[in-house]
Order: sequence, then structure tokens, then C-alpha cells
Amino acid sequence: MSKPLTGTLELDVGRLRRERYAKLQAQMAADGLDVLVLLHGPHVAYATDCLPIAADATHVSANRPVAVVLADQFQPCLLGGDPDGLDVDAHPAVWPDIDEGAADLGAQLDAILGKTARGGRVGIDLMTGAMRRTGVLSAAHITDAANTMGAVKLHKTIDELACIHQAQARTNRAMATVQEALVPGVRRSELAAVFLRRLREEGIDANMIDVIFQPMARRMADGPRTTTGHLAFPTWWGDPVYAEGDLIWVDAGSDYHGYASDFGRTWVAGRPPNPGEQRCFERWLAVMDASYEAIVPGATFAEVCAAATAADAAHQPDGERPWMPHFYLVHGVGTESAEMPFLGTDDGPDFDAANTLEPGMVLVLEPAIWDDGTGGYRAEEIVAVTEDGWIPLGGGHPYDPFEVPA
Amino acid sequence: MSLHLQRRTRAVDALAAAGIDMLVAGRQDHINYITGAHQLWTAGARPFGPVCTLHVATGEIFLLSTWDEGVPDDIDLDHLHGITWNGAIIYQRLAANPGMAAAQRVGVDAWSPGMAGLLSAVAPNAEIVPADDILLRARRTKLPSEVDAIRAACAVAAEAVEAALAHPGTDAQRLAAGVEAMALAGSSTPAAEPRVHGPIVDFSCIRFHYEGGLGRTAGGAPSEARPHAALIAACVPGATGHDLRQAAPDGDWLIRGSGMGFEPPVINPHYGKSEVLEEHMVLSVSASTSEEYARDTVLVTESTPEILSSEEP
Repeated sequence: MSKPLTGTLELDVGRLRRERYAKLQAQMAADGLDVLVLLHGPHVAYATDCLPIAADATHVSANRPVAVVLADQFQPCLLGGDPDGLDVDAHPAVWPDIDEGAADLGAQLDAILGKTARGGRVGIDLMTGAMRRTGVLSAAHITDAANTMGAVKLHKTIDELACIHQAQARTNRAMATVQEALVPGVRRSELAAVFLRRLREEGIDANMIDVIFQPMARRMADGPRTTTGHLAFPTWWGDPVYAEGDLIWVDAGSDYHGYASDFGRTWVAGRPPNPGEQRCFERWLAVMDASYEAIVPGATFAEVCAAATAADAAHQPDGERPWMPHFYLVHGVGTESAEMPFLGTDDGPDFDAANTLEPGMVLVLEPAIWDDGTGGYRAEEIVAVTEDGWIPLGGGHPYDPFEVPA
Repeated sequence: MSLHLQRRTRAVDALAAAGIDMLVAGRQDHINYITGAHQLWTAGARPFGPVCTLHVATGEIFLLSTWDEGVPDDIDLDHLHGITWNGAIIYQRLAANPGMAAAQRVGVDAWSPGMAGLLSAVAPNAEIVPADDILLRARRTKLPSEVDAIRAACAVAAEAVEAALAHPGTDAQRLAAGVEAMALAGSSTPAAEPRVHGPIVDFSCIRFHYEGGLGRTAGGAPSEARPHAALIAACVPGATGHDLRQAAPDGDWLIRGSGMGFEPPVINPHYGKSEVLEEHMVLSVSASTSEEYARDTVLVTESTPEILSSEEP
């Protein structure tokens, strides 16, 4: 059951850092780790608040910051990055992708870890080839940091919710301007240009995916071939010119203080939706209503999937579920644009039956309706699970040009 | 032969020479180099996972992609693996990969304890070895078509630099104008983080897999007197990192490979002293003094270096 947002979701950066770091320390203790060594950008951001740079992977990894979290230490170590204003023990930058830089990293880690470097339990999320060639942490007992990081990220603190809320609200506002620019004859590159400029004007430095404005073939057989025999989405290749009546599935994600938004809408170029398109939208709304109704703490993932499926069952003679088979009904969002929890994936019914919604989880609902020959409707909405239901994040965004029935 | 097949031949030859039987790649730049596929650009580096496999003896490729849009014809639908969230499916795919079970050396372009466990299970006789250096070595010198692609990407980045220099307003507004101009010119994906700081402007983009970029200072010197001019002139075949240090100005400077994004060599005041430049390398060369910053993308030729980002500003 939805609760209106009471009060405001205002980011308190100090509290964000303190609460995340305390959770990380508690989880390390639970997992029996002496040290965490983190190279994956979203993990570094979680531990230190050193925000990831929204650049190409090759640039981000070349001189990436590294976070080192020692058990019972009051603040994390940050190697490289920009420590200005952060509550970290700052160390010189390293270049973990090249052998000389990785050797420097190894020496710094040995100095920071001391005796723990020999036989201590070290959780690590990634090693570059250069780190393995130069024997970084070769004397430690290495385990994967993925489970520890997954556990702390699963339930969001109030300030993490505030970041996601801000990211989504700003992305929504940027997209409102983009939609005004969608007229017959406009190109994908022109819409992307408006979006990227407007994000900056909204104070967002980080666009996280190459924004998707995919013109949908009305019949699946006319679209790209797929491994599922179902829809291809999201695709982005080329620079299409949109014609009147084109059905466009939009997908975008940007980042506010290290937290991702996820914008999804269906637009029609240059005219109102036709009756068939509008019917797809209304089916989508029914699936959303049923999903919202099912979202309560303690509900299994399977129960939410079943509610969504039942809401569209009358339109699905083959028993298909109202989301794309290569994706999910729901994914989480946080320091990554898609993270746990995932509901309705190919992890299968046993997985969905074994997992339950819990307060603090953030859910991106993205059912998709398809009526082959007519087209379809897909959009995304973000909610946070609370003690007794859920709250919407991002402040809402219209479904124009589709009409929500009274 | 199409460009991606020429590149793949280079990669396969280099892997074979290093005794690698099977490559498991997770870095998008390596995957792009080998497959030529146009996959969704996302900001930042991803965790390591098996996105693409290459059986070195046969050249057979499997690629993680639910659709064939943007995938070259030589990788057919039956060699595409759809997106999955299921670890058991990832295991089954890798285990069924021809050549995996018998592999003696599996090359990876990154490593995590979890993925190492998975690969040891599907290739029980194999040593799991880093292969990122082998691939990057193969990528180090550029084919003629790669140079053309880099030159085209530089022209797109130049539009952004020009717009940001010309636009009035705050740094943020000028940066927004630059990003907008770059998207209109053909790239909505940055290479490095775009930079507008007072008179200093630097933009780079990834366009059709290749990076182009340049940096300028408003009201700066003519090209032959810019802070990086002597460094560029020193970028000749056989020049060592040590030689380049001698040519560097006082202040910050960096020479690094530029191709499918940021590449080795990295030569700066701390690293790369023993690197040796070769003909057909493409380098990003940047330097700053207290008054001025400048960067260009440069092709090492048999004689004078060619500036690929030569469009003024």
C-alpha cells in the first residue's frame, strides 16, 4: 500500500557516510573479514563517498581510486581519487591497470595492511591483470567481496533514498524537455543532445548509459533477431530519424551523488496514441496497480510476480508474463543502475519463492506489454519498500501522450 | 577484410603466440576490438564477468547479447548468449563452450575470486592467466582504418571544444553546451570526463568504438608554442619514456595510448620510463604550464608526428 511521502527526502551527506560505513563494518564482522580492498567504482563510492566518474570504462579504470576498509578502523583509506572534503585516510594515487602502478598499489597495501597482508582474510572485488602479474596480496587469504557489498547495499538508508529520489526527479525534468523536442523529422542524436545538456543544467554530471530512444518495429519479426524469440530492447545502434506515428521506447539513467536514476517511458512521435496503443498502456497500468498492491514487507518475490501476471492473464493466451523474458518485472537500483533485488528473472520460480521484500529495498518496476502488430507499452517507476508498504521516489512523471483513464 | 576481422586476427595471433587456448573477456574495449559488436555504452568499469569467449585455435566466438542488432554477421544468433541473472546458466554455457574443458591456459582480462572459482570448475586442467597485456600489446599500433576512425572522433570532440570556448556563461553552462554540441556532431558518449575550468576546455568522445579528443586554453598560444609542442615533436619511433621526459615542460604532462579508449603506454613523470614508441601508435599528448593547458591526439609516423586533432580551435 502506498504511503505519501511524509517530510522531505533531504540528503544529509555526513549521515549517509556514517551509516553506510557502520553497516560495512558490521557486515565485515559478520563475514569474518579483516580487510576489504575495493576497486569497483560503485563499491569505492559506498565505502568512501569518492564518487565515480561518468566516463568511458577504459578511462575510469586507468587510474581508478581504491578503497581499503580495515576492520575496526574509524575511517576508510582512499588511494587516489579526490579526497578533498571526504572522511578518509588519503593515500597517493595508483594506476592498477599498468604493471608499474599495480606494483605501487601492492606496496601501499602491504604498508596499510601490515601483518594482515600475510594470512589475513581479505575481501576483494576485482584484480586487474597487472595486479596479478605483480603479485598484489599474494600472501593474503583472498575471498570475493561481492557478498559483503551485496548485503550492505540491499537495504537503503534514508539518505540513499534521498539520492535516488533526487537522481530520478532531475532525470524526469530533463526528459520533459526532451519530449517537447520530439517532433517528426528529429534525429536520435538531437534528442540525446537535449537530454545531455538538460542533465547538466539540472546539476547532474553523470549520465550513466547512452540514452535510448528506440523506435519499435510493430511486429517482433520485423525487429532484430533475439535469443529469446521475443523483443530486442534496449538497442541504440545508428541515428534514426523519427517519423510521425513512430512508437519510441525511452530508457535513461543518470547519477546523483553516486546513486542512479532509471527513466522509462513510451512516446509516440507527432500524434496521440491510437486506440490499440492506448489499450496496451491501460494493460500496463493494470499490471502496475496489481504489483503496487502486492508490495508489502514479507511478500515473496513470487507473490509480486504472480499478482502482476494475473492482472494481464486475460490478454496472454500463451501464459506469457507481462515483462520481457530477458529482463525482469522488478530490479533494484542504488549505486548501480541494476542491482538486487531482481524479481521475475531467469533465476526462476524457486529463487522468487525463496526471497522476500524487506523495508529499505528499492524497486524499479518495469513491466512491458506487447501486442504484436500494434506495438506495446513500457515504462518504469521507482518505489522504496517501507515498514508497512512503499513510497514512490522521484516525484512522478506524466505518461503523455497516453491518457490515464479517470 | 573488414576492420574488426583484421583486428581479431591480430588478437588471435598474439594469444596463440602466448600459448592461450581460450580467452574469457569482460572488458568492453577488448570485446569491441575482437568482435566489432556495438553494445550499449555504460559509464564506468563493470565487474569482471564472462561477456565474450574466444577459442583461439578455431576463432569461434560466443558473445553475451540477447539480439543481433549491432553484431557483425560473422557471429550468428546461435553464438549469442542472452542476458542472464542465473549463475547456473553462466556455468552451463562456459562448460559447453568447445575447447573450454580441454583448455590448458585460459586468458582473462580481469579477475575476481568468484569468477576464478567458476573458470576453474569449467576448465579444470587450465591455468587462469592474465591476458589483458597480450591484447593491449596487439592493440598498440593502429591499422589505417583505425586511424581514420580516430581522426573522425577527434573532429566530433573538436565541435565540443569549439562550442564550449564560444559559449558565454558559467563553466557548467559552457560544459553543457559542449556536451550538446558533441552529441549533435555524432557522439553522446564521453571518453574522459569532459572538462571546462575557466579558460581550460577538454573534450573527448567515443565514436563507433574509437576515441578522439583534444584540449585547449582560451586565448592560448599558437599551436607551435603550446605547452605540449615539444612533447609532440618528440613522439617519433624509437623514442623512449626517458627521452620524452627530457622533452617535457615543467608542470603536469601525460602521454598515453588512445584508440578504443584509454590504452597503454602510460608515460608521465612517474611511469613509463622504459616504454618505446613505435610507428602507427596513436597517443594523447597533454601538458600544462601555469598559463596554459593543451592536448592533442597524435599519430606516430616514420617522420614528423601527425596531429589527428588538428582542427582549430
